[in-house]
Amino acid sequence: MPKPVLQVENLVKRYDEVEAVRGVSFSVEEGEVFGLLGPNGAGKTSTVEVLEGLRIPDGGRISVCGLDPQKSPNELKNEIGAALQATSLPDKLRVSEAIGLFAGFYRRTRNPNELLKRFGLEEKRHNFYNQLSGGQKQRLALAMALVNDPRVLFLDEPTAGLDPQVRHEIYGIIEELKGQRKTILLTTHYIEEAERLCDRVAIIDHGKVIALGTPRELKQRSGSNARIEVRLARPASNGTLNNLESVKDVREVDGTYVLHCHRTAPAIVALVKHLEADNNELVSLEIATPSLEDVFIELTGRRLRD
Amino acid sequence: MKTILKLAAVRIRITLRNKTFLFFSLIMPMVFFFLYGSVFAKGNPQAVAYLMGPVMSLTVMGTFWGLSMQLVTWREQGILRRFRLAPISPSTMSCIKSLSDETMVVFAPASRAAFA
Repeated sequence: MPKPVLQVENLVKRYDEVEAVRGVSFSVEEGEVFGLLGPNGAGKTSTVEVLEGLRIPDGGRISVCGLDPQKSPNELKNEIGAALQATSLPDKLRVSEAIGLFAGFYRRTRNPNELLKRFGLEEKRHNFYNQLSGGQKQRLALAMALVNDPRVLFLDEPTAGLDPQVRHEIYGIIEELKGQRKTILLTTHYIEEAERLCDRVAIIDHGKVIALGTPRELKQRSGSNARIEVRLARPASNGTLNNLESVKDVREVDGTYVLHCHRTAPAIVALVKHLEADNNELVSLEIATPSLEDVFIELTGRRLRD
Repeated sequence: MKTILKLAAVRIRITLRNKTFLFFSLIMPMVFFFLYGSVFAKGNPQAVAYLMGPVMSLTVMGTFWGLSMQLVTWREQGILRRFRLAPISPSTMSCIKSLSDETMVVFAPASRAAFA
C-alpha cells in the first residue's frame, strides 16, 4: 500500500478558550480529491492552515508528503500549492508580476505564461490586481497555487462567494486537475461541490469528524429513508401499501403515493407483487435517495448555510 | 539572492504606484520646502540650507512611517499570509522590507536634494 500523502492523527488546535479542532484524523492518498465538508466555523480552515504550516498545532500528529510542516517548512512549501479562503495581493500588483514573483520563490516551477493562458487570464496580464473581478481573482489564486507544480493542492473554499457561473468554471478547473491525478484537499460548505468533485468526504462539525467515506457510502450509511413515489392505475385500498415489506410509512399526495422505506429494493419487489395480485397497474415510479444534504442535516442537526 | 532583489523591486514598484504615498512623502514635503524657502529664507542660500535639514528628516520619518503602515495593511488584508505559503521565510521578508524601505527612504530626500 502506498504511503498516504496527507496524514492527520488526532489534530487539536485551540485559540485561547476555543477549541477549533478537537481530534481530527484522516488520511489522503496520492491522486485523491478529499473534501472537508462542514458549516462555517466547523474547523475546516484551521485544519487546512495547520497542514499548510501557517498555524502551529496544539496536539496530534500530521505529515504532509512525509514532512512535518513545523520542522521542515521550506521543503514542505516547495511541495504544496494552496489557494486561501480569500487570497489577497497588493492592489497595485500586475497579474504577470504576481505570478512571476511567486514563480521565483520555488525550486521547481511551471511556465507562468502558460498557466495564465490556461486560466484565461492572458489578456488580463497587465491589469492591476484590484481591477480583476472576483472570478478572475480566484482563477489567479488557482494559477498561483499551481506555479510550483505541487504534489498536494489545498483549496480552502475555492468557490465561496462566487456566482454560479464562475463556480462552475472553477469546478471545471478542479475536475481537470483531478483528471491529472493531483492530490487535492478541498474544504467547502457547498454540498454539491463535495458531491461532484470529491472522491472521499469527511463531514466535520464542532471540530470533529462525524462521518467519513465516499459521497455514495455516506448516503447509503445514512439512516435517512429513501422515498418511492408511485402513481397507480387504480387507487390502492386503504392500508395495503403500509403492510409491504420494509415500508415504514405511506402518504398520499394528489393521487401519488409516497412510500418511505428502509431499503428500496425489497420494497419495490413487494410493491410490484402486491399490484399484480391486486390487478392494479403502475403508471409511474420515482425513487428519491437521500442526498448528501439529508445526511449532513441528520448528522449535524442544522442546515449547512447558516 | 535573486528572489530578494526581485521582491524588493516589486515592492518599490507597488509603492511608487501608490498615489497617497507619493503625495505625502514626496510631493507635500517638497511643497513645504519651497513655501518655507520663499517665505522665511527669501532666497538666502544659507537659510535655505538651514531649512533643508528639518525637511529632510521629516521626509525620512514620513517615508518610514508610510512604508510601515503599508506593511500593516498587507498583514491585515492577508497579503503576508499568501507570501507565507511560499518557501520564503519571515526573516527574508523583513530583510526585503528593510532593503526596499531604505532604498525608498534614501530616494525620497535624494530627489529633494536634486531639486534643491
